Amino acid sequence: MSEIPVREGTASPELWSARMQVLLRRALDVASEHDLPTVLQRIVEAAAEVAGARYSAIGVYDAEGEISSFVHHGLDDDTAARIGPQPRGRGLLQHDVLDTRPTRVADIGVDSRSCGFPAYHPPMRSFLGAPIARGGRRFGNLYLTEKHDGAEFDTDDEALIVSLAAFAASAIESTELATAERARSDAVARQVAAEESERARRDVLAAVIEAQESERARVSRDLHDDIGQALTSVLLGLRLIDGPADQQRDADLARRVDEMRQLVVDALHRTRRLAFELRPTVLDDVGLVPALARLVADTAERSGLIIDALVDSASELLDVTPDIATAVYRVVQEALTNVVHHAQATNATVTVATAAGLLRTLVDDDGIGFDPTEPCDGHLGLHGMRERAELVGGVVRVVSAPGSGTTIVLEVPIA
Amino acid sequence: MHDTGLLRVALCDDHGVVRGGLRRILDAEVDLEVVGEAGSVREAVALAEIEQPDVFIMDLGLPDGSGITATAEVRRVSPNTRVLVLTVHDDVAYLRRAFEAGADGYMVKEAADVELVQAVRQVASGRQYVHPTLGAALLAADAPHIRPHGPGGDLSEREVEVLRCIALGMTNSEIAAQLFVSVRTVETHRAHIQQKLDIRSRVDLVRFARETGVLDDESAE
Repeated sequence: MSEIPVREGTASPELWSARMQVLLRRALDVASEHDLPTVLQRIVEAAAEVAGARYSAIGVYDAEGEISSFVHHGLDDDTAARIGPQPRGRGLLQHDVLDTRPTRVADIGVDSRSCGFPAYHPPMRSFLGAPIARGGRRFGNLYLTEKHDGAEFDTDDEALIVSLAAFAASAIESTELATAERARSDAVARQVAAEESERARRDVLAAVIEAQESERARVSRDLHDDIGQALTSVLLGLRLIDGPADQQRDADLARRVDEMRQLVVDALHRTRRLAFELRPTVLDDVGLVPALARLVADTAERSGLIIDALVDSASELLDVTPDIATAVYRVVQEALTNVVHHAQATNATVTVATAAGLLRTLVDDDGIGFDPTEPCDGHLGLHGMRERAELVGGVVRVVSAPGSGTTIVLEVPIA
Repeated sequence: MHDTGLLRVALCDDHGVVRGGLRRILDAEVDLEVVGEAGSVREAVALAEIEQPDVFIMDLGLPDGSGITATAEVRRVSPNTRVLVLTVHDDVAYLRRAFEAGADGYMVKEAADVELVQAVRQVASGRQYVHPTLGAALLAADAPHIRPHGPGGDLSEREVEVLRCIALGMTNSEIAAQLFVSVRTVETHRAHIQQKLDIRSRVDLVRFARETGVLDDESAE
């Protein structure tokens, strides 16, 4: 709300006061809208009523002075469609006609700046134009034509329209601010949603991994307890068939019992190996370091790699949470699997050390190495290692280069 | 030992079939007598308290707890009872736990048919029994590290400390903080170590640290 209308007109104070009321009511209508097309529509409707004009329009101009959008009022849709495309900004609608001040014209047809009307355009004689601007920003121009009863627009009309244009500028600007604000808050909402979905993804991942680990632990125990025990009782039963050692034995029976015994012992071995691969009970029953020691010994035996394990005295005594123990165990397991399958290494080491609130585990090898920046995460299971680490607040780093071995570093904060 | 002259043996295993098999093998021996069977930690402790057996054969995975706990409890209520652990777990970590809890013998089930009687007699006589494969694993794990030239070879005391830190995967700045020296000094030490030992890779470094017992230095402090 800016300039108080400067009044030079001839209307009575009563009439002027009534027109001011219309202006204010219409300005409030405009201000109550929030999206730009509606605001512009309200403005042209308001302008027509306030100025007593048959037609009104707003031209919004681009940087080249072309009309980029033209909102009009008073023309019926059929007529508008017949006229064709919106005006481009020539003649009286040229953007800089209103650069300095509002303009009134008694008869467009005889004005030197006019360039005529297109076909099917209704006759228009009287003209009033005012810029919609605010604080150096030009939002567009407000145009009115065909004052009622064939009259010309007078200074009262001009004063009212200038005033309405000031309202219009405010309304357009606040719409723009609201749009920007909405975009910002949408962006924030999207960000929050993304973070929440990331959190949810992690929660799900953690739940899945936990369920998987506990299921593996259960199956591992079942293998020990049920299959292991069943095989053990077969073994003991065979011994009873065989009879006491000092008894004279049927040679054929003895041979067959021995063969069966070997089968049962092999089955026990396989059961134990399977249980260990699923989830070593030692990890739950005794702890991380003994489980790693066993993993290292087993991997070395099966692969032929020479693997050293180095554990500092602080880690030896460390009592980490089951989550951390599982994460470290699985990362080392995955890393050793990589060494066996991809590294072409002769030696490997597993180092566990505790320092400055961190449990640091390293798996080194003297193999062919690789370029960690190359996208080969898939087959090396690095992604899985990182996710495991992340779940306990840890990180996995890979130090490697072609020809110079690989070091996987896992750091997990411990209380 | 009671005045009958028989070795009195108790069994604890939560699988009845396994208990039955063990019992028949033991019963076949004229100098052994099975005085009772238990299927849980609670039953084992009660049985030990009443029967005060010479040998208690103990499974590790029991429904109401671990055989390790049961071993300690049995030893508490019947101090003269020798505990022989009989389990599917062939892991030295379990073996250590069992012996810490007061067991005198540790055997795996796959050898139960052939080793059981001998193991029972051995622990009853006051000696310890460990399943041969596990005994070897235990020895390997406990073997003192070879130290060709004492810890760290030709390295200075400071260099040995730096070597230990490097072996444990510490970064230069962490080592500097730990030893109260500058990062620059650590870098110098590092270069000297590599030069003296002609070692390039972390694998070799860790191997060297392990073989020369550089790590044990700290645990001895």
